[in-house]
Amino acid sequence: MTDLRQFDGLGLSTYLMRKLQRKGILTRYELLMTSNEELINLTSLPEATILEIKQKLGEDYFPRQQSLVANRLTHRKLYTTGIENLDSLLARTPLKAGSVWEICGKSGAGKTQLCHTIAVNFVSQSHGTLLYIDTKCDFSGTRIMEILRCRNVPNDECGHLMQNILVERIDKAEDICPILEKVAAQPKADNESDGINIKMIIIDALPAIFFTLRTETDRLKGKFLLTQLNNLIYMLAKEHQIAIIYVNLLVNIEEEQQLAEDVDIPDCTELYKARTVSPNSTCGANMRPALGEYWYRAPHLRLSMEQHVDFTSMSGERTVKILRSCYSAAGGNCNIHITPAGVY
Amino acid sequence: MLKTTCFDIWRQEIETPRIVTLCKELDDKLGGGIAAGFITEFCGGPGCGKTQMCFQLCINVQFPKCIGGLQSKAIYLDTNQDFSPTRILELAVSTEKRFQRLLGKNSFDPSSKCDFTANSILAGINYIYCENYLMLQTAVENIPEMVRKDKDIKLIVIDSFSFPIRVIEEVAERTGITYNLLTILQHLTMEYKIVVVITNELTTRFNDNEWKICPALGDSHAHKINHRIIVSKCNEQKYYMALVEKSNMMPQVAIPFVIKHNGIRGIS
Repeated sequence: MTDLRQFDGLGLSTYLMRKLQRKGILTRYELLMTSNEELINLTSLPEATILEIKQKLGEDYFPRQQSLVANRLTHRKLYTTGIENLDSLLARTPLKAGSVWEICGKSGAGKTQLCHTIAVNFVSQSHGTLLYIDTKCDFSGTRIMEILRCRNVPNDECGHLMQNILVERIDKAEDICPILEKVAAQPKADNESDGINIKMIIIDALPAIFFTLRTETDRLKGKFLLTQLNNLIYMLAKEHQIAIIYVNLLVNIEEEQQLAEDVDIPDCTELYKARTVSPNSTCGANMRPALGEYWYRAPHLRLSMEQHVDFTSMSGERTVKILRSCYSAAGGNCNIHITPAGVY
Repeated sequence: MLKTTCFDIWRQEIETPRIVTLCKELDDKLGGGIAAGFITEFCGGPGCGKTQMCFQLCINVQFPKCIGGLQSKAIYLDTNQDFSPTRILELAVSTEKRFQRLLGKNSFDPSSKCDFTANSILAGINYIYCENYLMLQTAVENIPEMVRKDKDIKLIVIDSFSFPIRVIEEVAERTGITYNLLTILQHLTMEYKIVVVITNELTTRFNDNEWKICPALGDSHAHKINHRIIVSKCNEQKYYMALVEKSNMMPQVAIPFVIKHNGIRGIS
């Protein structure tokens, strides 16, 4: 919304400017949106002059809007997860700059393993630096090394790739926002020489820090911090084109029922039922992502990981399902395998 | 902030202290024993060897440096009065004898203060009894102070972690308390490189229209701990099984072990 007075060469006298101002036409947008007849009445200029002014302003205005869109499209870099089955499942909504994803599953389902693999694949494709925010000491450098070794990556390159994964360990929900603010403060341009050029953030895992704030006295604090985190993440995704992956837990509604009744409006239980994983899923119908109703809408894409019940418990095979997606139909699924060389 | 890389973490992990379990196969799988930096949970029904494993670790943490041990001390938080000094003494005496047999009496260098006798082993275990969850909370909150005073402490055992916490009726409160305790422990294990071992019981749970046996305290607790090893007993064969159910660096494996009068041993 640029002020009209900033434009030279419109041929409007100070008197006419004042007159327009008095009618509430102060910005370029407001002038463009006013009908020609009204402007003729106001300024008593001929229609040709009005059209000329509008054209001058419009040329400057609309193309810029379009180029912004075009710019964004070209800057939306594709990253992909590097896991063949998962990438083909998500062919229409690939992992790209600005994605906000969530991986949820029960404990021991392989969420952390999937994150480790995505991290290794991301730095192997040399897209930039990855920040791994670890809230429960689950990040394992040994595991990353094992993945790289199994893929026969030469030693010097292993070191280089591992230098590209930054790890932050936190144990309080209050600590997460300062880190993200610091990331937001990094230079916006692709300034490779600066050293830090974070292009993806993995947060493993949110419940580990937010579940400490579940007692009566801390509940509002938890909600506040969650909202703050969410806003920061959206800002980072939009303005800095950073891809974000959260890890969340799938919890049993019946077990958490008491909590659900306390926190949310009483008739929300029906909503929960409607939103749970489809009834024919292997892990039962009563599972839903943790962190409550507010968080349910936060990520753009939510994947669930499940262990097979009919297989022996030792199997490395897992099913990944799309629980929610802003861009395509939810409900597809694919199988992946956890191997020493990562997830395939 | 934003300075630690994965490479640094890897280096730290290689140098991290580990406590052997004396079950060789399990130690190999765990990369040389139970490592600091993680919370390890032993889970199982009654009489499956959880407490025996804890006793064994309390002794193993004191193995002298000259044979590659940590030569450190342990804190034992007891909540269900399962602690048995007699059994520890039995283990300690047999361990002392074993060391003397293997190394000979003179192999210990007297100048290095390498005192490894049954008495020194018993003295190296700090015992705290917590009769309810409030006392457990107090004890855990005091551990950082104890550790600051005595740098030799390298093992914290809570046997059993779930016993006092399961009596809390309200789910939100229970999860909050569990997470607070585990956060303190996680901070300790990272900061001071201390091995944290907790135990948990089994319970039944109604899921998919049938009752299933699963570890107590639910999914949210399972999420926060790093390693879970489920121990069970095979009655006919007279051996025990350790199933590594959850781990951030290895697939699930099951390893048999036996409990003898002189402690936990692998099956060779």
